[in-house]
Formats: sequence, structure tokens, C-alpha cells
Amino acid sequence: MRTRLMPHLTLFVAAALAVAACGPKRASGSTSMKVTEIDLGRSLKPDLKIDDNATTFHPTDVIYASVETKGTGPATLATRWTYQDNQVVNETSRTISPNGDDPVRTEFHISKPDGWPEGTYHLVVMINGTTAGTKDFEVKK
Amino acid sequence: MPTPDFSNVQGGSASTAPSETGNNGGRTYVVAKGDSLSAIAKREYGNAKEWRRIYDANKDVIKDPDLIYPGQTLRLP
Repeated sequence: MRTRLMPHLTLFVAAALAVAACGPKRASGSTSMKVTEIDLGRSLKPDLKIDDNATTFHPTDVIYASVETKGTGPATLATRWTYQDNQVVNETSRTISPNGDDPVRTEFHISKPDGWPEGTYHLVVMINGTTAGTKDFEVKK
Repeated sequence: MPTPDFSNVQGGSASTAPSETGNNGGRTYVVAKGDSLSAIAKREYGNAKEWRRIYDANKDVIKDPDLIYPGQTLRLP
């Protein structure tokens, strides 16, 4: 009986190993994206790059962050903007599915109709919930 | 010093990559200073009277069609 089961058992183990081998490949494909550049500014070009790099802003500015990523998706790109002692200003996320090796630009922007309070701000860019880059900026009158 | 109120902060995003969320494949437009719905309609559709199409597609973010803010992301139907 044992000798009859052995070929089936071997086949089952081989199939399980084959399935397991497929798993990590797919997983590494979905997490291969990385942030290669983060720029801040007051306006964007049509290709979503920053038109006028800045780290100091005025209270009435729309603040843009242009994030360059490389790698294939899908992946969720998220921003968390905070003020001074970690007070959350805004959180935005976007799931993107780049289908080639070319760099991809994703812009995130924030605005405040009654003006930004003066002080220092911190931006964290995350990919699938993991910090992939940070940037600091200041708002002055 | 009182804690600043950030509850009225508006945010948005756009990407050169295909997106899995957001506008169901439609285009988006980020409102700039001095924009109005009719000005955007004129620029995008060639006819200012088409502003209502944009308003209808963005009623979740536009409460008053005469009041849009720089930085708002609008769906263009």
C-alpha cells in the first residue's frame, strides 16, 4: 500500500513546490516599484514634473509633490502631509499600474482656501504602506 | 497658540501611469487660480455653456458651481 501511495505523494509534493515557486515571483513583481525622485513646487508641467522647484511656500500656494517611480505595479502610492509636531494635514493615495520600465510621474497636491499656517511641514511618500521617501518644506508669509 | 484647523484642506492626485482607482478612465483637471467652470468648459470642450457637464460629474466635490478652489481635482466627463 505504502509503495502505491509514494508516486502520488511525490507528485503532490512536486506540484505544491511548483505552486510555491510561482508565488514569490508574482509577489516580487507587485512590490518592485521604488521612488526615485520627489520634487515640490507651486505648479506642474503637462508631464506632471514640477515647473518651479521650491521648498518654501506662501500661505495661498497650491503645493504640489511630483513623485517619480520606477518598476511595475500595481502598487498603492500614498502621501501623508503633516504640520510641525506631526499634526496630519492631508492623506491621499492612488493605486497605479505602470506596465513598462519607463519612469512614471504621479503628482499629489494640497490647497487650503483660507491659507496655510506658517511653519514647517513634512511629507512622507509611501508605497504599499511602507515609507519610500520624505521631504520637508516651510510656509512663510 | 491654538492648533491650526486643517479640516478644509483639499487634496488630489494624477499620474502618467494607468490608475486602478479614481475616475474610471476619464480625464481629470486640477483647478488653477482664476478658473471657473465655464472657463474650464471653454478650454476643454470649446464651449463655455458645457460647464454643467463638469458640474454634474463633480457634484460630490462642488457644492456651489460658482465656487471652485485652486487645487481641486475635477473629473472631465
